[in-house]
Amino acid sequence: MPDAGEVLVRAESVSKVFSSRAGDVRAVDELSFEIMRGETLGLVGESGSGKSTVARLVMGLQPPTEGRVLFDGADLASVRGREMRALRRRMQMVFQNPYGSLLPHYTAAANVAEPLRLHKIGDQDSRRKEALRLLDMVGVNPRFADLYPRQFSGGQQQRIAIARALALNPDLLVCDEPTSALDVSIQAQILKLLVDLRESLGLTCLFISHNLAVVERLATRVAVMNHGQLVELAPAEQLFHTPQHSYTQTLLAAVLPVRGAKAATLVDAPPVPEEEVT
Amino acid sequence: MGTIATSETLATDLGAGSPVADAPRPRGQWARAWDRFRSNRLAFVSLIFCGLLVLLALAAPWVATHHYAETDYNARLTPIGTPGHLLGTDLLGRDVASRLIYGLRTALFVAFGAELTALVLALLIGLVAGYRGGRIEQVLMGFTDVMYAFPSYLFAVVLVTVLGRSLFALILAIGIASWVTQARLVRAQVLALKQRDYVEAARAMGARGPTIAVKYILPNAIGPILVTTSFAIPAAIAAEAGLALLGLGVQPPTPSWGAMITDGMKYLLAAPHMMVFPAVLFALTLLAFTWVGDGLRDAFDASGEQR
Amino acid sequence: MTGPLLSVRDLRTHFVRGKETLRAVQGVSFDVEPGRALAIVGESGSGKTVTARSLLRLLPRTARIANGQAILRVPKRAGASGGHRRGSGSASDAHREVDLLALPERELRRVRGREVGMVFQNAMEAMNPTLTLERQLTEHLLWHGICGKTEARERAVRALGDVGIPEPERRIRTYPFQLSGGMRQRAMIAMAMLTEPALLIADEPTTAVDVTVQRQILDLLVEVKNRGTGIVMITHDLGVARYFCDDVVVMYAGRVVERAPTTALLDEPQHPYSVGLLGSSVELGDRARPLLPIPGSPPDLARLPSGCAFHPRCGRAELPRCQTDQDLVTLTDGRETACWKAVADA
Ligand SMILES: Nc1ncnc2c1ncn2[C@@H]1O[C@H](COP(=O)(O)OP(=O)(O)OP(=O)(O)O)[C@@H](O)[C@H]1O
Ligand SMILES: Nc1ncnc2c1ncn2[C@@H]1O[C@H](COP(=O)(O)OP(=O)(O)O)[C@@H](O)[C@H]1O
Ligand code: SF4
Ligand SMILES: [Mg+2]
Ligand SMILES: [Mg+2]
Repeated sequence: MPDAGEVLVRAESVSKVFSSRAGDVRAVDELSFEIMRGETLGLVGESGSGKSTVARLVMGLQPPTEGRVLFDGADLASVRGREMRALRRRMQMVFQNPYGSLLPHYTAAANVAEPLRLHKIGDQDSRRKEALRLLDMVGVNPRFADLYPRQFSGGQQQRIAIARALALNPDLLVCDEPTSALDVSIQAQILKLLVDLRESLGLTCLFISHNLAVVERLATRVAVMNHGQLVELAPAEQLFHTPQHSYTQTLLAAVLPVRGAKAATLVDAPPVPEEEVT
Repeated sequence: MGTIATSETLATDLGAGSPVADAPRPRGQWARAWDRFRSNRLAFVSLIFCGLLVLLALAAPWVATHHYAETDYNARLTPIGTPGHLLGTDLLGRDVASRLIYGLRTALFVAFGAELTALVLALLIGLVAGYRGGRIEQVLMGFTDVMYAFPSYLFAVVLVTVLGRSLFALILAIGIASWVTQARLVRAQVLALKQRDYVEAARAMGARGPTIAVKYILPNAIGPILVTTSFAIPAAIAAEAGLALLGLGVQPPTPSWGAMITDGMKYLLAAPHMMVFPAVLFALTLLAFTWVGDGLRDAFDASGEQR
Repeated sequence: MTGPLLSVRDLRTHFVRGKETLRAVQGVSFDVEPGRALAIVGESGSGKTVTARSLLRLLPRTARIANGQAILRVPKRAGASGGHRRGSGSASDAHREVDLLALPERELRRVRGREVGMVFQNAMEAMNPTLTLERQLTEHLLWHGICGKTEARERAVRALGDVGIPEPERRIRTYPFQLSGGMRQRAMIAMAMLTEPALLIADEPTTAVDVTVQRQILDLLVEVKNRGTGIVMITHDLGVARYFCDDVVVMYAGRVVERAPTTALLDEPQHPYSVGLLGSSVELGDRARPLLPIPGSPPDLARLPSGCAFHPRCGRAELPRCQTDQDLVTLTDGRETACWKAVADA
C-alpha cells in the first residue's frame, strides 16, 4: 500500500465561472480539498451542483478561473506540453455515459490499447496483449475483444472504459457517475469491480455520484457539494452517521430505504425544503 | 433506462470462461452501413449501374467504335441501326454511340474531379474551423460565408472565361462552387462530435488536438459528408451539362452531353436520336447517382440506432 | 366493489425488426385496484415501458399488440360519449367496462388523458415546449369537453397549486422549459390529474430528478393515491416501490416472474431474479453487506434462452428442468412466482 497521509491532489480555493450570454454561472465556488494517496474521496451533490466540473478541474481538462489544483505538487494550470502529457498518464477518468466515452470506430481492444499507443508504450503486439489482459481483468471475455463498443451492453461498455482508464496504470482514477446510467444489477457488478480493482491496484480515486448509498459503499472520505460550494467534508462513517450540515441531513433524509428496517429512523429527519423554480 | 437491447448487443457478459456461443462478428460502422445499403434494392441496383458507367468511362477508348472527333461526311445524320453506327451519326457524321461514351467520360471526370476538390477543401477548412474554434474559425467561416453568398454560376462563368474552356477550368469552377456547403456541413459535424464524451475522454488520455480531430472525429463525421458528396456528384454532372448549354463547357470537339443535347435540339425532327440518347442517358445517370445518394443517406442515418 | 379498476390479461406486444420478431411483452397479467399503487420493476429492456404504453396503445409503428385484454372500469360521466359495453351483468350502473386494447382509436383518444392519465420520465416528452402551461392545461380540458373556457383556466390554476407549484397564477403563464426539472414533473402530474382520471400510469417519473425532488414527487403521488386513483408505477428503483407502492410485479425479459405485496416481496423475495435485484441494490447503511450482483446482463429478446429466460444468469438453475417454461404459480400466501425451485421451497 502507498503511504497514507501523502497528498496526491490538492485543490486550493478553486472556482470555475462559465460566462455566457445569459450571464455568469459559478459552477464551482472556492473549493478546497485534498485527496490522499490510496484513499477514495467521494463527492456527492444534486445535479448541477458542480461535481463534473470538479472532475474536469482535477483532471486538468479545464483551467480554474481562480485558485489552483496541484497534482503531486505540480500546478496543473502552469504545466505544459511534454510535462503535461507525462502528468496525464498518471490520472485517468471514467465517465457516466460509457458508450459516449468510447471511440465508436475502434474495437474494444483498440479502445483499451489507445492510451498506450498515444503514450508510445510498447509495440502493436504487446499493446494488444496488454489490452486483452486488461479486458480479462475487468470481466470482458477477450474473445469479444474485436467487437465494436455498440455491440456491447452498457455494463460491458463501462468495463471496457474502466480497462482503458487502467491501461496506463494511473495514480489517480476519477470516476464521474460511473454507474448512474446503469441498471441496479449492472451497477452492483461495476461497483464490485471498482472495489476489487481499487484494492488490488492500490488506486487513489475521486468518486462522484449523486447516489449517496453508492458513495457510502466506496468512499473513505466524503465531500458534499451544493450550488458549487463544499458544505461538508468528513470521513464516510462520520458523515453518514452524524451529518453536521443541514443540507447533508436533507440529502440523507430523502434516500428511500429498500430493505425497510431503517424506514422508521427517517421520521425525525428534517423536512425536504420546497424547491425553487429556476 | 436508456439502453435498448438490440440483436447487435450480442456480447452477453457472462465473463471469461463461461459457456457462451460463438463470438459474434465484429461489425464497425462501414459494415453496418454496407448491410443497410445492400438491403435497399433500388440503391443497390443504382450502385451497380453507376459502377458500370464508371467502367464504361474508363474503358471508353476500347469500347467506343470510333474516336469522338472522327467525322464521316458520307454518313451524316444517319438513323439508328446504321451498320457501323449503332445509334446513328450526327451532323458531322460522328458516331453518336462513341460520342455518348466519351461524353460520359467527360461528365464523370468533371464531376468526380470537382467533388474531390470540393471534399478536400471542405475537409480542410471545416475540420480546422470546427476543431480549433475561436479566431481561426471566425476567419475561415467568414470566408466560407462570403463564398456562399457569391452566385456560383457567375463564379463559374468568370473562372471559365479567365482560364479558358478546359476540363481543368470546369473542375475548378464546379468544385469551388460546391465546397462551401460541404465545408459548413463538415464544421457542423465536427462541432456536434466535439461535444461527445469520447473527445473529452481522449483529452484525458493525453491525445493531442490534431490526433483527436483527424483520428477520432473525422472518421465519425465522414458518413454524412460522403452522403452530401454523393448527392453533389449528380449535381456536378448537371452543372457540367448546364455550362455546356451556356457554351462554357469543354472545348469541342471533346464531347459533352450538354452540348450534344443542345445540338440535338436543333435537329429534333430530322434526327431525334441525336438528342434522345444523350438526354435519356443523362437523366438515367442523374437518377442513378441520386438513388445511390439516397441509399447512402439511409445507410449512414443512425437515427434508428441505439443511442 | 365489483372488481379491479384495471385488469390486464395475457398482454403480448411484439416488435417487427426486419425478419425477426421481438417479443417485448409476453403474456403479462395484473390488476390495479382503486386507491392502490402497483409497481412494475425490472431491469432496462424488461418490457416495463412497452407494457405501459401498450395499455394506451401509444406504441411506435413497428409494434403490434398480438394478444391480450386490458379491461378498465370507467365511471359513467355526463357528456362522455358511449364506449363499448361489455359484460353488462358485471358492470355496476355507475361504471362501464372498456377493453383498452380493443377500443376503436377514436374512442381510445377520449379515454387517454381523461380516464387514464400518463406521467413520463421526462416531462418534455409529454408537454409541448412551444405552449404555455395555461394553453396546454386548458386545451386539455376543453378538448375532452369537460368544461368551458373560464372554468378550465380556474381548474388549471387549481391543479398547479395542488401539485405544490408556488404562485400558480403567475407560473401558469410560463413555458415548460422555463421550469426546473422537478417543477416540470409536477406540472406534468398536474396535467395528468386535471381530468381526475381513475387510473394514473407513471413511467419512471422520478428517474431523472434528484433524491430530494423524488421525495416530493412521491409524496405528491401519495396524495393522488389517497384520493382513490389507481396507480401503475414503473420503476427500477426498489426504494421507490417500497416507499410508494402496495403491490409489486417483477418483470424479466417480457414476463412477470414474481408478484406480491410490496413488503412481502422486498422482505422475502422468492424468485431468484427478485433475490438478485435485492442483492444488487445498494442502500445507505449496508456498507458491511457484501455486494451480490447478478452476473451477466439481460438477454436479447430476439434470442431468448429457452424456458426460464433467467437461467443463464441464475445461480440456482438446474438444467434441463429450468429450460422448460415456467408459469406463474400461486404460493400459499397469495403471492405468485414463476420458478419451480421457489415453489418447491415455499
Ligand atoms: N421502438 C422499438 N423498436 C424495437 N424494439 C423496441 C422498441 N421499444 C422497445 N423495444 C424493445 O422492447 C423491450 C422492452 O423495452 P422497454 O422500453 O419496455 O424496457 P424498460 O424495461 O422500460 O427499460 P428502460 O428502463 O430502459 O426504460 C426492449 O428489449 C426493447 O429492445
Ligand atoms: N461548459 C459549460 N458552460 C456553461 N455552464 C456550464 C458548463 N459546464 C457546467 N456548467 C454549469 O455548471 C454547473 C455545474 O455543472 P456540473 O459540474 O456539470 O454539475 P453536475 O455534474 O453536478 O451535474 C451547472 O449549473 C451547469 O449548467
Ligand atoms: S426456474 Fe430455474 S433458472 Fe429460472 S429462476 Fe428458477 S431456478 Fe433459476
Ligand atoms: Mg455530472
Ligand atoms: Mg423504460
